[in-house]
Amino acid sequence: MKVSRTYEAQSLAPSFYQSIDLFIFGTVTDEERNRHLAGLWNGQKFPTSYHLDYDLELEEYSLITAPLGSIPEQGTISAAKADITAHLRTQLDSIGVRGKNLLVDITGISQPAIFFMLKLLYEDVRPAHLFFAYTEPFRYRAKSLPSSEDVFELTERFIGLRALPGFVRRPIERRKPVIVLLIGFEGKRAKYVCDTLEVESDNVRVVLGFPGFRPGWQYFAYGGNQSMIEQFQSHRFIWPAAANDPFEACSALYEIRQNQVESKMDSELILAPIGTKPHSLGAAIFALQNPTYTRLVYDFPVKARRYRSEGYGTTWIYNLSRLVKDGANIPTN
Amino acid sequence: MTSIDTNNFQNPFSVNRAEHLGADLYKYFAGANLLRGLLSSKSLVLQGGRGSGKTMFFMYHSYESKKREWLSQKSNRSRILEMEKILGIYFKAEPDLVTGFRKKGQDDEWWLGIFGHYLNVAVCDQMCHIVADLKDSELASFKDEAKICEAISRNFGWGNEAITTFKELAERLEEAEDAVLFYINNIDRQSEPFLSNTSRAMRRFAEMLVKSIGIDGLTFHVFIDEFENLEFYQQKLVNSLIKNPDKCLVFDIGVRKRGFKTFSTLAENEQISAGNDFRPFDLEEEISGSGYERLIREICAKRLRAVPELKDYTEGDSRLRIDSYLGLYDIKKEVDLIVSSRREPPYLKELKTRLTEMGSDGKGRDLLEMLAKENDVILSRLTLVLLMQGKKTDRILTELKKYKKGEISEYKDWIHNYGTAVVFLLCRDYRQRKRYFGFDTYLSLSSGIPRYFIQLCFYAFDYANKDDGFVFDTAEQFSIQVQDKAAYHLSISKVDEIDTYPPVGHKLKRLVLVLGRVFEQLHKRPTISEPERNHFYTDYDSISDSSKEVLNSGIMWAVFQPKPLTKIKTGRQPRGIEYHLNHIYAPYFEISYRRQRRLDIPATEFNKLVDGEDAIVAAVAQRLSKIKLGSLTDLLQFQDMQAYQIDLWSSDESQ
Repeated sequence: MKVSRTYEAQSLAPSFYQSIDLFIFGTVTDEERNRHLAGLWNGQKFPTSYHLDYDLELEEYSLITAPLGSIPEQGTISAAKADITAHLRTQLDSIGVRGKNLLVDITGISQPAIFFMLKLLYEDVRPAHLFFAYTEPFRYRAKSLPSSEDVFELTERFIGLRALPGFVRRPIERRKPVIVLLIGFEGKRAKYVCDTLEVESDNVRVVLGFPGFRPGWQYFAYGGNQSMIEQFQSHRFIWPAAANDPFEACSALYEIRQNQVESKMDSELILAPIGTKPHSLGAAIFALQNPTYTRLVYDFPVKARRYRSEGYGTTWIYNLSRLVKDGANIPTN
Repeated sequence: MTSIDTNNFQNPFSVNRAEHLGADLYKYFAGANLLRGLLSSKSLVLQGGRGSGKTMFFMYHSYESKKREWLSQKSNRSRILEMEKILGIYFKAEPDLVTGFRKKGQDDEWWLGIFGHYLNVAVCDQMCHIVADLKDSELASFKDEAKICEAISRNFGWGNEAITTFKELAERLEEAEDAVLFYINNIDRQSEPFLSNTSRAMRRFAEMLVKSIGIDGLTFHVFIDEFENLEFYQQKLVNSLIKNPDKCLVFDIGVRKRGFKTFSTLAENEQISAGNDFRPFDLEEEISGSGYERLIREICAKRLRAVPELKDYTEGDSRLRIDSYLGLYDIKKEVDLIVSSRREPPYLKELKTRLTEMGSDGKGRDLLEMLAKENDVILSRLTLVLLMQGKKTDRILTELKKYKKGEISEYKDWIHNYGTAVVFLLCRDYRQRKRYFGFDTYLSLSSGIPRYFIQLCFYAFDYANKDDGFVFDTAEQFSIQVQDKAAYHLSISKVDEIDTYPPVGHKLKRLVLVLGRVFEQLHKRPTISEPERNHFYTDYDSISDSSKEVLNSGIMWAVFQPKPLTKIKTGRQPRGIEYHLNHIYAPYFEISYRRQRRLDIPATEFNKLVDGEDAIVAAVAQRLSKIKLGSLTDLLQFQDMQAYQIDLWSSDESQ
């Protein structure tokens, strides 16, 4: 039986929000949508909530209590930071995540912190129920200097490919690397990852956000990556998955892996989640469920802090309870 | 998954990376003569930008490639141990791996123990695979295999385990590698694994294996590629291994320019130095000029030979020569293409006015008549430039007459100095794009980086096939249009990707776009006082740290290529380095790819270009180009392939 794991936040009964014990959110950018989910608690009992701030370059984080009614402005948090690999597990334990109902709004949290937190919640600090939430943007801010492949003001600069906390893996010498790009609007990110990892063009697979958050956005994603797709001839290997659905993205990855198995190719999958956050979540789920012969890589973009997106669209709640309960595979929706 | 049919044209340049050539890599390795003897008992430091051939060199010399190269078809047995004295191990410093050995609440000194152990395990693992393969292939027997395995096991704390074969040892070493990574992924809850001495096991292992194989002078070489990715302390560790060489185990590194974070070793106050401790070899500098041309021809010939339709052609056949497809740059062809777009030369009115105004003594009219008779566009356009420079009509006429008679004439120098620069002015006059075509042009555009040349050829063959229906059965020279489109395509993509070059790609891209536009404007100056300015000098010692970071990063990514200063303009100017914008960007900015004149940028102005606010950058750009340029937004406007197509259509409409 197929069990729905994705819900629209607005459609959930108040009892869902009442049942949440702990709420973690972030404000890595000043986008309005980072605060949207908090508003849904209006007039209801607030859970204990925490603000997660992560420094991409230093691999340091802070997790401080932050009442939902007074979410701190980005850049105003001056909490002391600690190394995420060395301390987050202990802190999640100390705030009592184990056995509680946890909701994490990933909209304003950087990918490396999302990946590492999910790893801890999956492998060790298991809550009773786990929900991740994501709020889509209403629209993205257009670039002041656009080109046909670079339309939106998304990334300020790149730190570049480096180790993801908790996901350091060595390349398997005797296995062919097959890279799976979960692409977004910025084609140069995909090109950079392929160039740096030096993967053969025949071994590039693409997961495209289709349908996009809004009608037509898939064309921006495809167009933005067109020269990369041409260069690596990867138009032959494109898997569509709804841009807002981590489970569909995860399913696509299982399908790609199955294809590799069927083609009898001894390969390792290198997942590069450089598109939507829900897709990144899907890639992290897959990487956790398939640690052998899977590498998760990330190019550490520093996001444009201001004016990145405007307004908010749908807020989605992803039910990951089964994942953390028994580590079960969740490729189907 | 979607699936669509593709054209079955086999582009010989579709693979542009050593890593993708697979088991047949050795068949494509070129430059054996140029690079012979680089590997020796002294460590090699192979320098060069991305695509300069470092990886190709190391992968070619690795065990797997050499074993295959020396495979005898007759006996199906490799003669590697008879033909080679080096057993090469390729180790790429993957950025997503080596940067895992940092932070996590520990300092570099602590990490040194962990990374040193990991490197030790990884190198031993690779050596183990080589000897296991030699044994399986019956190329060596290793009577003392069990004894060696036990000895090495003790180094890793596995003395109690019964490890007696190389295969068992390799498996155990791989487990140890994973154990280290598991530890650093879960550093807060895992206990520290047993840590081996940084280099003892690998050296002992190499020595025992060489002795067991019994070939004098046999050495293991570890090729550490992408050395620049290593952390500061990791580089110190490798530097120490270089400083203290071992007769059976040598470390060679591949590194980008300015990729050394330190030359220090782990010992206090100790550094490695070129000559004493390692042999430096800069691929871009040491393989230049005719050497680079030979290398490129060889690379291309090997790729063309792999095309099924060309497999029966013998060496030296024109179909295996890349210049047969690209031809050579021909200024006359380009000028013909430019002027064919309009009947009335746009500059002619100006030339007539000047000569009739200035030629009251009749010299002007004589010159005009002579130019009309010659009907040589370059000569006429150059004459206008000379007049605008303030040269007297009389002198110009006299020199032109001498030139036409074949006598010694200043015109010869003027054509030499300004001939190509005049083409840029003609492009402006006729509102045409500068065209980039020909083998020699591609050679210059590739800036000493073979991968750029291969990529240029990839697009040229691709467009020739798609646009002009080129197939190898009817091989013919590619059109100028196809070659120019290919050059522009690659140029755009190289400019576009600059902001992904960490750590300061965003600053680097802005700097390149501004400098490129300044050079473009300088190419259009009607007097051509300084022809074809496409590189710059700034006093490195006087620029800010932030500017130095951007400049060094640009050099590391081969965006800028440093070269010793050529002409000293004033006695006060210090000798130093000038910085060339990689010529691959020339088609994007429509500037020259030749090494001609430079632009001197004062340090204060350079700092502003790197870190200034938009209005300040625009003002500096305006001062440098000496014309009104508009806002920074105008300067940075990105021209992609769509813009190129529109440009071409506009040109067509004007014809």
